[in-house]
Amino acid sequence: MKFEEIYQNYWQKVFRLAMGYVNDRDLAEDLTQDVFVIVYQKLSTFNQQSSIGTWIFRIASNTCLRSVEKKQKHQTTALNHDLPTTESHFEDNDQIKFLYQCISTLDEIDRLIISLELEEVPQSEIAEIVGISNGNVRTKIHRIKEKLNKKMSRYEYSRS
Amino acid sequence: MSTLDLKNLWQQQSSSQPNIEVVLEKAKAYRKKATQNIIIQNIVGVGTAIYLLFIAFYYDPELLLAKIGIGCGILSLIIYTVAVNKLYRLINEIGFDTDTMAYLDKLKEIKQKQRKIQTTTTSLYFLLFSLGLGLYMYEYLMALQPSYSIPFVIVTVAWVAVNWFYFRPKAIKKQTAKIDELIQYFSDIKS
Repeated sequence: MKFEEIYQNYWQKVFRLAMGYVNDRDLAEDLTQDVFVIVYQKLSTFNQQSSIGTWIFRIASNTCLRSVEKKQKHQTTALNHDLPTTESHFEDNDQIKFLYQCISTLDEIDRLIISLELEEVPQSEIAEIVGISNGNVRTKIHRIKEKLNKKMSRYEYSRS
Repeated sequence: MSTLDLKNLWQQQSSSQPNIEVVLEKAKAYRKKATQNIIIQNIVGVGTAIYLLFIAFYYDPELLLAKIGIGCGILSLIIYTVAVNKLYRLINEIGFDTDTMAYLDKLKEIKQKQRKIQTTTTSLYFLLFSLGLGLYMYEYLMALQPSYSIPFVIVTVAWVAVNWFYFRPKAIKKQTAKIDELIQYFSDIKS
């Protein structure tokens, strides 16, 4: 696969993964660029033992983990438990922002797992990317989704 | 909210994708910068060692102690240069495409090695350089009147002591503070 093709197909996917991890647009764009710099430099070493998607998401997940070095202590936006109550607080994309905000407050590995799940990466591949068992991935996804659904429902309730 | 809705929401997030040339430029700049840094550090280390050798041959001190002193100085520079190269190799040997858990282990291992190399090298560097300086100066101090040489020795010893007890721990603390924080962070993620 050519780099140009990878770049077109995976940029937004990698960006969303980074965004879910750091919840900071500038940092996420910076991290996405870093991922593609590594992909460009290492593409010739890709040995096709896994799919190209798994390979790229592994690099992306590992780059996210190292974002802490970029911003020694990156500050994820703290989740506001006192949900806004008046309609005037909301914009059209507030729901999206809130989802990413919720994800960025999860544990680091959980952030990566749920981001990959929402990106529709098969669970067996998520297990391969993160390095944990299929069963463990299934359990974690179930638990994280439950948590997210609860927060999103409370959020929607507060809007209505 | 259903899973489908979460996926739908998730995928609505997008970023303006920069031109591919921007990434290619960044890739080239990264490679150039990394190579330049290591070349400069090697040139500085080897260059200073050659300069010390030049002093040893040009001034040709009579006492063996002075020659040993210069030897210590050169040795400290060799240790520094080897450490710099070791660190460079360590950072480059990390597998970017291993799974996350293995990557975390590797990151932690690298940071611990980096910490060890930095603390050992800094201490050895200070020790050998101070020893080298002292031994080299011995011959010249002996040629002076005691009224000149004693204050000189006191000042030199005091300077070495300040380096050892103040600047060395400070340098080590500065180098290790960030590394310790990272080691802790990577350990916490895995636990």
